[in-house]
Amino acid sequence: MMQRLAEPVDGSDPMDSVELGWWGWLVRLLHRRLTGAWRNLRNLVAFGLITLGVMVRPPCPARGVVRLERQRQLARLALNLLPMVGVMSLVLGFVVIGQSVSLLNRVGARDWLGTVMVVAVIREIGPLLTALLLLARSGTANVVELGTVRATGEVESLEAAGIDPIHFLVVPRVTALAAGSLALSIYLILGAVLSGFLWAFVQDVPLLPGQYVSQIVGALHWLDVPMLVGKTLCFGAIIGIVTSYQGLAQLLRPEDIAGATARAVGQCILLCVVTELGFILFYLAL
Amino acid sequence: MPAVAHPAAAAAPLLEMHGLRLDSARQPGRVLLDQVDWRVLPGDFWVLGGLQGAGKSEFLTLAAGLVSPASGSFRLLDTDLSPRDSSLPLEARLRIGVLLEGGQLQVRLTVAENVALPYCYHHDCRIEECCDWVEALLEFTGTRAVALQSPLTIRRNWRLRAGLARALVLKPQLLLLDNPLSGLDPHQVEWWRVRLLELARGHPLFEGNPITVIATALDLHPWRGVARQFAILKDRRLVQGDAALAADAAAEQLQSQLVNSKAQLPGAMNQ
Repeated sequence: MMQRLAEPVDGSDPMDSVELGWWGWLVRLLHRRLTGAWRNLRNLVAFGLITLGVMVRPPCPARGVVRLERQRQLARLALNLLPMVGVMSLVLGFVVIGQSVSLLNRVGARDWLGTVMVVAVIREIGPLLTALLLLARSGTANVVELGTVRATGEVESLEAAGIDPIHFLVVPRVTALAAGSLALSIYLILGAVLSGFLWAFVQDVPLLPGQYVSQIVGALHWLDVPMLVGKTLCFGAIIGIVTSYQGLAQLLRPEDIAGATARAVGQCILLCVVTELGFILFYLAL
Repeated sequence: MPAVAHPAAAAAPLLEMHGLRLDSARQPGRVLLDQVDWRVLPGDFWVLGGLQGAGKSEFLTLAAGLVSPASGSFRLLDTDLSPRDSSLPLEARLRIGVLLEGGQLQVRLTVAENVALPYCYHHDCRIEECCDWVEALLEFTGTRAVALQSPLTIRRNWRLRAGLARALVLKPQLLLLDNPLSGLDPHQVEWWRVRLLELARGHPLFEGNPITVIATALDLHPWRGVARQFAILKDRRLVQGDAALAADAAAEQLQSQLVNSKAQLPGAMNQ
């Protein structure tokens, strides 16, 4: 299955044999890029669907082993990020509220502090920033680890023992990254809200904690909660699937791992931004 | 010399190949073996010799049902594996123990966790629930001292032994070993000879049931007196030792064929 998902190694293109001018070279380059991107997207979607199929396959075998593996991955990929996300949440609160306070003071709209917090942090920046941190710290490590697992033949030894590599290696990572993305986003948002209030307090803004909370609650829409959950789960799943695909789907030599990691980061950012846009459009449509 | 009657001559073969062709997965378009006719009966102990690049490892993965043949018929544990379709049912897969070259243990797990992994996965249990069986296997393979270490921190011979323990954890009927004696000192080689002979004859750990063994090797000499059948992979063919010969003589004859086949390598490699 892994081999079927792998891209062709020779990189041959039927258009290579055609003699063309400068425009032809440009068209050929564009054609190659587009077909490569299309093939990559198709393989990624296939890999994602296979992972989803394995995840929901009844009856789910080896639940205990996979649960243990998921806990390991959750601790390794998400819990280790708590200090970093904590620092980022403080910075985010300071930046958003610090800038907003001075701006809102000028126009006498201090009551909009909670609204700014909801729109900027809870709805948009929080989930995306968490996804980027998760990608930078855990997603890249995932590519390297799975690339090594594939290169050293551990995948073949799992298959020989009747263990599905997707079930044992990919599903725990995808679910751990999705759950970790949700939990870390909530942690980041709570930290940013708290540090935002501290910053407002330091700047002598006459705002009581109750008023601040009621401003935030008042600015929240009922859709914000399911959107936040859906968005963060999607970001985590995208990072898990793309990094696992780049690590496992093709046989990597040591010198290929850096390239695969860079590809995974680029694809994850692109897909997360597209997903974010999709959620914004969905929100606006409602 | 009189022919030696096989103890399981009347039994159904565990593995049977007719007119089989195997293509290389690493080098598309390259035929590794062609016109292979081979039968493995319960109780057999086969050693397949071949030079580097002859296709021993890929042939072993074919025999394990992990890859499919390009053409020909292949029957493994009562399952027909048609060309381009490697779907061996899980029940059959669990009757085969495989040790790939180097052991190929999961580096994130300890040796004991590696040994327990197939058992825990297929029985949906925690390692604590099968620790007696895992300890017995660690004892059998002499790896108890390194049980809590990572495979990265132990020597290759211990990794191979741990790989053997993992291959045995589901009590397989057929044991496939890829070049297990490569790079081992004589003491370790002797350990493997003794242990594999015990397994082939029927060890109490496995209720005395003999395990059919297929191993690959660069050198057939260490296997004399242990293996019952020999074959070499040469010129894209599987050349089997004469069954009428005693094992020692067959191994000697095939070893000389194996060594002589070096002369057929490209000129640049002979220099």
